[in-house]
Parts: sequence; structure tokens; C-alpha cells
Amino acid sequence: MLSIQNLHVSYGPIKVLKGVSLHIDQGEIVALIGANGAGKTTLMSTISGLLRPQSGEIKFEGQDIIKFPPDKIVKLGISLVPEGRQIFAPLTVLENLELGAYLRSKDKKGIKEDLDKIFSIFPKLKERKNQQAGTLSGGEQQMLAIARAFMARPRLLLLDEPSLGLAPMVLELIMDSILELNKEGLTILIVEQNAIKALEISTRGYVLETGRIILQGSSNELKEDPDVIRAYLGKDYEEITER
Amino acid sequence: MGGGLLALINLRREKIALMGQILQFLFSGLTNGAVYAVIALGFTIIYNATDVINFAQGEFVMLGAMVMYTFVHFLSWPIPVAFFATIICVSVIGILVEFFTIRPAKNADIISLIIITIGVSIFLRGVAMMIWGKDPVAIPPFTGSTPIVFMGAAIDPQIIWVLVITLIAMIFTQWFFKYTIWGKAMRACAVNKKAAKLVGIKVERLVSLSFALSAGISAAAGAVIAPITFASYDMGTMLGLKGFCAAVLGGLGSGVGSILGGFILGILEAFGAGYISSSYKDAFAFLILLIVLFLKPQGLLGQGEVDKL
Amino acid sequence: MVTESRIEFLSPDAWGQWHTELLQSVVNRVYTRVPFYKNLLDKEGIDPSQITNVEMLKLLPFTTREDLANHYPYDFFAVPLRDIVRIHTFKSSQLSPIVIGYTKRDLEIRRFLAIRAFNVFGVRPEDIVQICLDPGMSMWSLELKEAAESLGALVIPPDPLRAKDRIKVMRDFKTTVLITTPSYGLYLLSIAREKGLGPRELSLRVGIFIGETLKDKDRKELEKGFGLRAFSIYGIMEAMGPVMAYECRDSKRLHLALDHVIPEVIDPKTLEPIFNGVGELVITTATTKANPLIRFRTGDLTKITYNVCECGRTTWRIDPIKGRSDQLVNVRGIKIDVGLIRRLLTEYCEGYEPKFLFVIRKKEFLEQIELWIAMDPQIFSASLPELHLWIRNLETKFKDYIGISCIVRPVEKRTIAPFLDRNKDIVYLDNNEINSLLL
Ligand SMILES: Nc1ncnc2c1ncn2[C@@H]1O[C@H](COP(=O)(O)OP(=O)(O)OP(=O)(O)O)[C@@H](O)[C@H]1O
Ligand SMILES: [Mg+2]
Repeated sequence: MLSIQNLHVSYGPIKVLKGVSLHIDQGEIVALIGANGAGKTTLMSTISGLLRPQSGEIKFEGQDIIKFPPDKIVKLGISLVPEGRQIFAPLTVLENLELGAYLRSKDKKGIKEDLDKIFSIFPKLKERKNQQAGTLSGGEQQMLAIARAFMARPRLLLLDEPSLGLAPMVLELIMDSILELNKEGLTILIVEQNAIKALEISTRGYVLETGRIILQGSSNELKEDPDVIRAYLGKDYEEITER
Repeated sequence: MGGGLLALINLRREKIALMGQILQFLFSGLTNGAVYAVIALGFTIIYNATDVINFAQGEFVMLGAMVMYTFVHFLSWPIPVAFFATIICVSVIGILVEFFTIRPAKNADIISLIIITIGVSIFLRGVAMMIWGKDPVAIPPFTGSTPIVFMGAAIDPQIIWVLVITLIAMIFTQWFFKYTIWGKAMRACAVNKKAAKLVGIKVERLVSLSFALSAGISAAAGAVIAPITFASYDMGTMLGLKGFCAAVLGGLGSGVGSILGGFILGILEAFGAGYISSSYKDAFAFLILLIVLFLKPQGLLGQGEVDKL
Repeated sequence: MVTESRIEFLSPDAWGQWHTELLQSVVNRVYTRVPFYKNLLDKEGIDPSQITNVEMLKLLPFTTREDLANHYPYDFFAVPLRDIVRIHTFKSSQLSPIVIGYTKRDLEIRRFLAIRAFNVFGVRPEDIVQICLDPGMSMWSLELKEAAESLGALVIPPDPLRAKDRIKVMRDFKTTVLITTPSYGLYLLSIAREKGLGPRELSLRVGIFIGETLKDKDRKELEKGFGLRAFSIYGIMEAMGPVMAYECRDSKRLHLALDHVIPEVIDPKTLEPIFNGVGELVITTATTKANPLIRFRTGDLTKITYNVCECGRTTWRIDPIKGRSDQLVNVRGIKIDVGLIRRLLTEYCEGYEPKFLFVIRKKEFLEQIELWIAMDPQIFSASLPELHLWIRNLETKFKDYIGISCIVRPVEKRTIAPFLDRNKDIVYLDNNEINSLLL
């Protein structure tokens, strides 16, 4: 569905992604894990068209999307739930969701259906729909961020650290809803600090280390991998290898 | 050139009673304030969409007046037709300004962009001078000039038009932001450009739209005050600065704040000029601004970055 | 492991993507973790990001068995020792042995590859698997045993029994799956025939042959004589274990574990890649964690076939091994390095290198090896008992050093001179030839 080859991304002189290749097949949940600053968010932003890569190839369903602006990418069916939620705080919950469906704002009926679906997955959002989004709790804001991305009817959902700063209970809820969305046919790429959680719900995973993929495999095997555990603990390889 | 308005009112000053005098000042303040408010709103719309303070805002007001003059005087169009045509015309100019100056310099920093808008304002003023000349021109009032006497105060009917039209502009703007998907998108853009892009909003298009809207309401204000103040190529400079003061006063970025700021500025200015000295009138605006900024640096309704609008 | 069972059927495009990803991650991994590769790449001025696809493999340096030995003990490790659960050591022609470590996951992958092949061969939990391998191949036995066990089969691992007893056990315990080398298989078959045992008396269903190339003639013979279906598997112990490639039911070519290794064929002389022809098999182990190897030269000559197999698998296939590109000799599945023999002799003779010929003789079905040493006043003393002792000691040392027994025979210089003159130090001879030479 999505395949990336040799992606190089820099911020000015700082090289952040140094030749990343990965792919996601239809219906998969793929986890991308790595320590702070590895370049996970950078990768997600590049896929969504927020950043222009220096070089490389990003193909979505066979189409090269590397030069596409974000709106075109959303239109093709890729939505990003950005790191730190980035909801429209002064707007109401409902307005946030309407904006999620911005590109098909004429499809009133479809939007209504999707809203009903969202509200059945996240009943909390229904209760608060006329409230300013900024007044929601952290977990509710995360739900809103996911729901807003879902309103674009994506086929591939990119999730950047959905668990950031959430209580374990809320985290469970979010993860469950991600699984539910996946069951309905949504393909998902999830970035997580909480590597173990991400690997629990995903089928495959990649480990990013300072802008390079150093390991990939099925989530089950990655969960037990000492390198992953180290990355999860956020320790550097050097610190641990001292023999 | 808001001063012209006051001059007119001052002519009859001796004849009216204290009550009437206060009302007079109030009306004059409201009128000026409404104009400032609309201009401030124009600033706010563009600021929210681009983070740029558009110092060519006043020129949109001037163009409103001048284009209106052209349609009424040279083409003899009826006032309502000329009025709406003016708004459309200046909106298009707004879009062009954005397209040719702000968009190409998209990656420049904010300060550079602000300097570009100053350049634009000088350019527009120059072009206006070449087209319409240096002398002020007069536009006939919309509905005659017989003053309406109200509780001892004589009120120019055009002032009613100013109040009505600016009010409509304000309500229209608020409605636009609250109830249309474009307006919501513009608010979203103002809050979080990145997230706005991520839901598929074409930020560039909204920036065009914001310039159109901002230029349009400013032009409406320009067209409606021109019969009172006369219109000239340089009328925009002072109006623009006042509008800017009002916007900052209200907390840059807040729509309601700019409206409030505009009215407060207009009324204080009117009373200040009336009771202290009219020669310091323009200085009042800045004095008030300084005092407010000193006491409440984020402006009256400004709430920092997150809660714009 | 859903992906892992489907993966052998990936489309060619998808393989391209997988291989790019696998290759890049392993190169990134060795570059940041393996001192040997880090130094090598830095020296050659190669940045991992230059490896944009599988074709770019050609930029990377080779790894040889000598490199492995010369960088004993730690230079090839990509993980700290505490992640390692097993270490195997291998003899080498160099001063140090080769040491290969395995993480838990590495062993799992090797076992998984064996199980995947067993499944294709039709090995089931009800099966009784008898492994008959030389002690020199104990690591192979170990890993195959583990795989068969985790499949749930009953396993009879190699034991010190004589061939006759092995056949007896095979009959009485109704062995259904035999794992052995082709030559030992033929030997067992000859003994079974002697005892009048054939397909009717035995329960064999599947034969898995390793270590040597299974020739068509031998395959037919084994299948007919034992009444089994023969499959051959290919592997190298330094990398990926015993089942790096296996025969499916529809092809005589062996399917490579393309999800774990990236194979190439090169010209052993020019070292240039060969895309359509016979050459030395070179592999890059992409999923190995402890000792990932980049462009490891296996020394085996073969050819890669890229098209889709009749069975539907898209994994590339290799032809049965056609020989060696180096001085390693395969005797009964055990690889013997002539360089190593030379070193042994030199050590034994305290620095002097006698003239010798390494003779592999076909006797019954098993190859036997002999070391013919030219009599030379430098090494041989006059006294017969002393010479006898000298020979015994050398034979013991040989067994210890090389892991296989060998007959040492003192000969006249002129006997071996014709071979040495032709620059041959290894020869295959049959009994008649040997007799006529030694007369
Ligand atoms: N706008 C920017 N300008 C310069 N450098 C940046 C910018 N954004 C990110 N970086 C740098 O790029 C690197 C990768 O950042 P990125 O946000 O992609 O990491 P990450 O893997 O998402 O980390 P985290 O787990 O902390 O979210 C970091 O070293 C960061 O400092
Ligand atoms: Mg991040």
C-alpha cells in the first residue's frame, strides 16, 4: 500500500533521515519505534507532505506522492494524527470533526454517518461535542485527534505517539479503538515511545536509530529483542555494550 | 483623515447644549470607532491567516473610497451598484497583492514580510496618486445631507450609513468565521497551521481568501466614509495606523477584541479631542495604546498564541 | 507468524522492497555495531546510505572464513555477549578458530527454517525421525534434532551405533523420516539390502539428505531402495544453519530462505557478480543478530534461478552444489581445509613441511581419507617402531584437529610426485588405482 525507499530528510544542515526504506501492506498495523530524536516524527511529517525530503521515493498504491502537498495526500487517503494532538483548541469538538472532513464538506450525508460512527466509538466526544476542544482532558483530546483524522475517511492512518501523557486506562481505550478501526479495514502506521504497547497491537515493526532503520520484523519477535528493549528504555547502544 | 469628520461636527459646536455635546462626541466617537474597528478586523483577519501585520491595510480603505469615487463620478453608476462593485474590485486587488508579494516570499521571515507590506502600501499610494491626483475628491452622500436631529444633536445621515454598514461588515465577518466551513478553516489555520494542513486545508487558498475578505471590508469602510471625509490618495495612512492601534489594543488576533478596540479608541479620541485639544487628537490613539500595552501587554482580549479569534 | 508462511510467495516487486529494507537495516546494524565492518566500510569510504537497493551490494566488501578467524574473538559481534545464548566454534586454516554466536532469536530463525522445510517435506508430529550423521557434523544433528522435536516428531539422534544396528533400530522403531548424507544413505542402503530389508520391511517415507550434493542416480537408488521420497537441503553452519535452502515437491532446485538471506553468485576469480551462470554463492545474512555477515563467501559453486517455481514460491532457487571454489574438500558432508592439513603437518614436523598428498578413496559407499607423506630423512627416523609411533600420533592429532579419522601412509617421493607436479594435493582415487600406485 505504502512503500518508501531511501528517504533522506534534513532540517537545514542537520540530516535527520538517512536513507529510510519501509513499507506497509493493506490491512496491517505497522509500528515504528525508536528513541527520542530518532526521526520518527520527521518520517511521519514527510509522508504527510509537511516536509520535503532531499531525496527518496514514497509510493502510495503505486503512485509517487513525494511532491504532493498535504491536502492532496489527505485526499488520496493518508491522514496523520500528529504528535501532541494539535487539535484546534478554541473551536468546538464538532467543528474540529467537521474540519476533519474538510475536503468533502459537501458530502453532508457521509459526514453525518461518519460522525455517528465516531460517536459510537468515542461516546465521550458526543457528550462534549459543543464544548471547546481545548477544555477536553488529555485523553479526550487524543480521541478527538484520532477522530478528526478518521473524518477524512483515510485508508492509511498515521499515528504519532497517541499514548503521550495518557493514563494507562485511557491508553487501553485508545489502543482498543485503534484496533477497532483496523478491523474495519483501516491500515495503520503507529509511532510510539511506548514500544511494547505499539508492538502489542501491531503485526510488524521497524526500529529507527538516528535516522536509520536498524531492525525490522514481526512484532512478536521485536517485543523480545534486546535492542528494542534498550531503545524502549531510551538508552544508547554504547552505554550497554561496555564489556 | 478622520479629522475631517470632526471638523464638520465642530462647526456647530457652540450651538448645542451639554447633553447634545456629549451625544455629539459619542456619535462622532462611535462613527470613527466603527471605521477603526472594521480596519482592525481587516488587520486581524490577515494576521491570523499569515502572522503578518499588513501595513497596506489603510490603502485598502483608500482604494475603497477612490474606486467608489470612480464608479460614481466617472461611470455614474447608482450608489448601491457602485458600492458592491467597489467591494469586489478591492477584494480582487487584495488577492493580487497577496499573490504577487506575500506568496512569492513565503519562506521569508515575518519581519521581511511586514516590510514588504510597507512597500506595498507605498506602491499603492503612489499608483493612486498617479491615477486620481493629489487633490481630495468628493463623493455624494448616499442619502442626501440633511442632518437628522436627535436629542439635541445634529447627525449627518451618512453617519448612520457608516454605522450600519460597518456593523453589517462586522456581523458578516463573525458569521463567516462561525458558520461557514471556510471560516472555520480560517480559524483552524489561525490556531494551528500544521494541523490545518493535515486535515487537507489548502492554507494558501485561505490566505488569498483572507486578503480578499480583509480588503473587502476595509473597502466597504472606505466607500462609506468617503462622503464625509472626502477621499484622497493618502487618506489610508492615518486610518491604517488607527486601525492597527485598535487591533493591538484589542489584543492582536482577536476579532471581538479588534472591534472593541476600535470603538474604545474612537470614543476616547472623540472625547479627548473635544475636551482637551483637537490638535492632539491623533496623539491620543497612540497614548491610549501605550497605556493599555503597559498595563496589559497582550491587549484587552488577547490570550496569547493559542486562543486567537 | 502469518507473514512468514506467506512470504515465500511474495511478488517480485515486493521482494525488491523487502530486500532493500533487509539489506539496509543489516548494513546499518553492522556499521554501527560490528567493529570489523565499521573499519572496513570507513576504509573503503562507503556510507551505509549508498546502499540504495540490492544491486548496490556490489559496493560492499566480501567476508571470508579467513576474516572470521582473523578477527577472533569479538570483532564480528553485533550484540553484547549477554544477548548471546550459544556459541559454536569452527576450525579454520588460520591461527584462531572461527567463533559464531547466536542470540535466542538467531536460533529460533534457524529452527524455523528447518521446520518450514520439514513441513514442505510432509514431516508431521506422528513421524519418527532418525538422524544418522557423522560426529563431525554434530552441530547439524543438533539443530535438525531441535527442529524436528519442536515440530512434535519423535527423534532418534545420532548415536555411536554401528550401521547394522542403526538399520535394526530403523526397522523396529518404524522410522519414517531419515536424515543423513547421500553417501551414508547409500551405505545404509547396502547394509539393509544385505539383511534383506527393503521398502516393505521398513517404514521410511521421507529422506532428507544434507552435506553433499544428491546426484540423480543416487536419488533414484535411495528412493527405490528405501521406498522414500528424497529431498535435499543445503546450508552452511557459519550462517543461517542447515536449511538455508530446500527442495520443494516440484523442483530439483533448492528454494533459498530469501526472507533471511540475500544471495548472489560471483565469479570466484574476478569477484564480479554473475547473474545467469555458475559461480560462487555469496550470502548476506539479513536477519541474523549476533554475527550478521555481509557478502559471506560460501565457497560453493552453483547457479541462481530467479523465476517462479511450479509450486508457486517466488523465492529464488539454487542448483545442487556443483563443487567448491576454494581448497575445502567435502568428505561425507564434512568440509576439510587442505590449508589446515598443511598447517597441522608443519606444526607436527616442528616447522618443516613435508611433501604430501591428500587422498580421498571411495570404499563401499563412504569416502575415506588418507594422507600420503613422502619419506624424507628430515622427518623419518630409521627405526621402525619409532616411525610407527610417529604415524599413530599424527593420526590421533589429525582426528583431533580435523574431526575425522584418516590413515597416514608413508610413501616414496616418486609415488606422489606426478600429482604434486601437476599442482594437485587432493586426489580422488578408487581401490584399484590405489593398489597399483602403492605396489
Ligand atoms: N524543525 C526542526 N529543525 C531542526 N531540527 C529538528 C526540527 N525538528 C526536529 N529536529 C531534529 O530532528 C531530529 C529528529 O526529530 P524527530 O522529531 O523526528 O524525532 P522523534 O523520533 O519523533 O523523537 P521523539 O520521540 O522525541 O518524538 C531531532 O534530533 C530533532 O532535534
Ligand atoms: Mg516524535
